[in-house]
Amino acid sequence: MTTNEFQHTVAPIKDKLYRFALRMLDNIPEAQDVVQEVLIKLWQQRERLTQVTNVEAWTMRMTSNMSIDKMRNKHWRTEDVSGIVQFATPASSPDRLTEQADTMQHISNVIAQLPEKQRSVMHLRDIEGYSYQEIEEALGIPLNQVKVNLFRARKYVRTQLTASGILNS
Amino acid sequence: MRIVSFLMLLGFLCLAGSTQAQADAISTYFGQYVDDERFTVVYISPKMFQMIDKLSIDFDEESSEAMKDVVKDLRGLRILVADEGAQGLYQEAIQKINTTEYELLMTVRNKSEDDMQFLIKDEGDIVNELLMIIGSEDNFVLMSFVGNIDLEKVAKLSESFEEQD
Amino acid sequence: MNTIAIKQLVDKYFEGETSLVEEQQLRAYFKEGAVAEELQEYQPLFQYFATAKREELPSDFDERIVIELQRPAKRRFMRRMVQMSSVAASVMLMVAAYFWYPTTELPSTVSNQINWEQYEITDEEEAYKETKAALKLLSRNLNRGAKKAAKSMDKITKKKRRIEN
Repeated sequence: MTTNEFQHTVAPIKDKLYRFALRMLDNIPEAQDVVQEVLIKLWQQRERLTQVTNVEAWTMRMTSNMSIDKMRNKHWRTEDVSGIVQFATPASSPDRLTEQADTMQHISNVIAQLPEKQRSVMHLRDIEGYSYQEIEEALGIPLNQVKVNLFRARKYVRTQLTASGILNS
Repeated sequence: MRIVSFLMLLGFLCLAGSTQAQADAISTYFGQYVDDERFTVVYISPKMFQMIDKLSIDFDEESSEAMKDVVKDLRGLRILVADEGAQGLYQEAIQKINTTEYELLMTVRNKSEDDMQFLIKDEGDIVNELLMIIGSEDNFVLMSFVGNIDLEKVAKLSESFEEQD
Repeated sequence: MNTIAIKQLVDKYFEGETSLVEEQQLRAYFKEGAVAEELQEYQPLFQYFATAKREELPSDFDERIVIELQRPAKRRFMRRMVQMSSVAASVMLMVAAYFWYPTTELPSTVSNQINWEQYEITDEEEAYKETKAALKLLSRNLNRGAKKAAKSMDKITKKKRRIEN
């Protein structure tokens, strides 16, 4: 396998891995480091690559484990959840624009407050569109736990968004 | 020897040809979409439909009977959904399908709502595959139902679903 | 989709009961401006999901990775050997397949090399949910299409009658 072929293989998944690491670590350079480490590991095991039926699940699992390791190694981590996503909002009045950006930022913060499992499940389902089985494989947790965590995450997000007045009911 | 191997090759080609014809429309025409990042992909296997048919728990009472009646004859469901470039994908999709293999059942064109096309592959009175293609402003849906599909039963399903909501 | 149907999906979403396709529909619906007033409160959340999916690695990331990968260029000889043996193996396989083929059945996916299994829903309840949502969409659209067709048929027959009279 040449580096070119390798790049071709990882092209469809690398951004997914990055988004996941970013969701877990909330830090751009660290998330990039994780993806880089995962891809290097993958390259070192490239002879095995042909035997792996689901490269995406396999690498996502590696990304998840590595991100969690990194997270746990930083007890000193501050509570600062500064923006991870740059929002391009549709052009409207400047007031509305900042208001929209604030809302997006707020949602991002609410998700960042979720416990690690709920956050990863919600990310894979609601942002990446994974099925429960894909999440089960990617995170290595049983299916009923996938469902429970997703339900709790959505419930929490709903409650928080209601409390902050974004949702009415 | 040369003749033997030629015959074998011929046999092989015929076989490959016939199995190709049995494949569903998504595998045949839209294979490259399946691993494409933009698409959400769902596949339900024949085995799963058997399991659903045997499910003893009723998730919801009335509709499940009508639904099971349809599901028991299904042999595969494949779904591709995308929310980017829906209009372009729709145009591409409806041009891609070989209309000698698939018969156009219905085209719905709408100013305000979605454009839709239904295509079927049948043998005699039996519909073996039903393909639904939807293109709206921001959503592209491709669904292939394989099995023995009773269009009337499927059309009636919406009544039982409606009652339940 | 109409407002009531979307509201139902939103409720289902928060109950954790929506299928993948339904969630995709929600994201698609809330993506663009034409959101009904009573549903606008939900727009930011679903827009957030769609926006978050657009986050990507910087464009120079690939270069950086390739530099990293090329660093330990040892064991090139071994790699060459592995490559050569895999070429030999695939030639063997092709030869074997050639002689073996006519007697064995070809799985339908092989001809197109799509790994559907990767996308297979293997949980009964979820498979039921996805199938139900798919059938619901199919059934509703079939009816909508049929109604439209009936209407235009009506018009045609009326016109015909007028001409005949």
